[in-house]
Amino acid sequence: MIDRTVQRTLDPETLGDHLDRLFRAAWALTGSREDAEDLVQETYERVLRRPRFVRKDDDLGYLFRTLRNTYYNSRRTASRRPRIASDLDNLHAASPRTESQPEIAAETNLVLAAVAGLQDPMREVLVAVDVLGLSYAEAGKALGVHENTIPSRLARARLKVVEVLER
Amino acid sequence: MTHEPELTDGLTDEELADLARLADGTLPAARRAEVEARVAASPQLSRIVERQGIALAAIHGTADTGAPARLRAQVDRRRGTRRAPERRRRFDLRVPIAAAAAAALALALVLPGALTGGLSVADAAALGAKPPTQPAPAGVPGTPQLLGAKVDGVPFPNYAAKFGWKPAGARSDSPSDRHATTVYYRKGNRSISYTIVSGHALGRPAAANSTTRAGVEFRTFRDGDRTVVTWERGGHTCVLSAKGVSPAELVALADWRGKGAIPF
Repeated sequence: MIDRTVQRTLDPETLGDHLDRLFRAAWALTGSREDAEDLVQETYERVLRRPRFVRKDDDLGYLFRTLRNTYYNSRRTASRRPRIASDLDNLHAASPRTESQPEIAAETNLVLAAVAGLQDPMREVLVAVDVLGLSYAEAGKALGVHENTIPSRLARARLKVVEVLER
Repeated sequence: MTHEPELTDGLTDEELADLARLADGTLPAARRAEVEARVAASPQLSRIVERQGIALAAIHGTADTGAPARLRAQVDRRRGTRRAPERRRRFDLRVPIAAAAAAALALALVLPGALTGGLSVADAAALGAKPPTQPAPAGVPGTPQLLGAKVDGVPFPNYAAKFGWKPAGARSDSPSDRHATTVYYRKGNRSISYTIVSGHALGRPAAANSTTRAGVEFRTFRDGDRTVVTWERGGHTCVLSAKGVSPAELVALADWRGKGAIPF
């Protein structure tokens, strides 16, 4: 049963604070900077469509759940696998911070593409914990799995990422 | 068909979970020595932990990548069309000011976080129990007592040279309409979290021990299995928290002024 006393309205004014992390999470889910941009935009449109109620300090978890649902809905609709890697020669910097540092943009692309190439359960856990910074408990709640399943799955996901990066 | 990586052959999920937690600093302090001993005795486990660290460093290295300006502008525009509903006025404005002040005082006594946007020191301390998501901030050239990270102009101290606590990571959060930055420090198998919250100071926890040093009040309390000390610097709430670190050690760190280099 939901305890209404610990809920509050999600304040649109604070949603921009999570934009950078959510963008990286979307990139790691889709494997494409362009798809990530579309996904985050659609996620915010969904969230802002009407007032939302969240538990205290669960803004990021709520946004991630919405991002994830939006991603799977669009993937089902498109009936296609996510693109894994973009052409390094055509890399676009994601922000002014990386525009002047193309090597950082390239590294980001490689790392997030490696994450995107993981199988869904491993990728989701790694995105929730290591990219977004959710706790194991928050990640479990966001992904609908028991908290105890998170760390072993995360360990495997990290090993896979290193394996891909070393190729 | 999935193919289990060779490196994890023969390991249980519980063992793998311990290694993940060891690498990201969420392994309970009570179990750390035992797990570290097992890792030290096993090349297989050592290799796994090492690779956990490589993955974490690679992923945290992406933290410099922000959302494109175009996306931010779109989101800002969209947010502009839906603001949070204004709070319903809680009492008639004709209520005498004295009565309102008395009500606020009573509320503040009962709920320390009630007048500070709902965020409490315990909430801020809880951020320190989460894993880092960003690389450790670098030191400030020429000022070895400081790290480059700061919140509203309040810098984080660099404990490495004086105390041996080395910066090990960082994270940023936005709890209850605030910004909070946490820097993690490691020393051997222990870690501490230092959180600074933006905006005016949070309500002081009532059930806490109080120590005053050089005019600054430090309040210490237990939050679950963590020891927490909170104080103010530049009108901002600072929170140091850790497992397995004594209140006295935390207060000594909190009170360190680095020969005047650390502004209070």
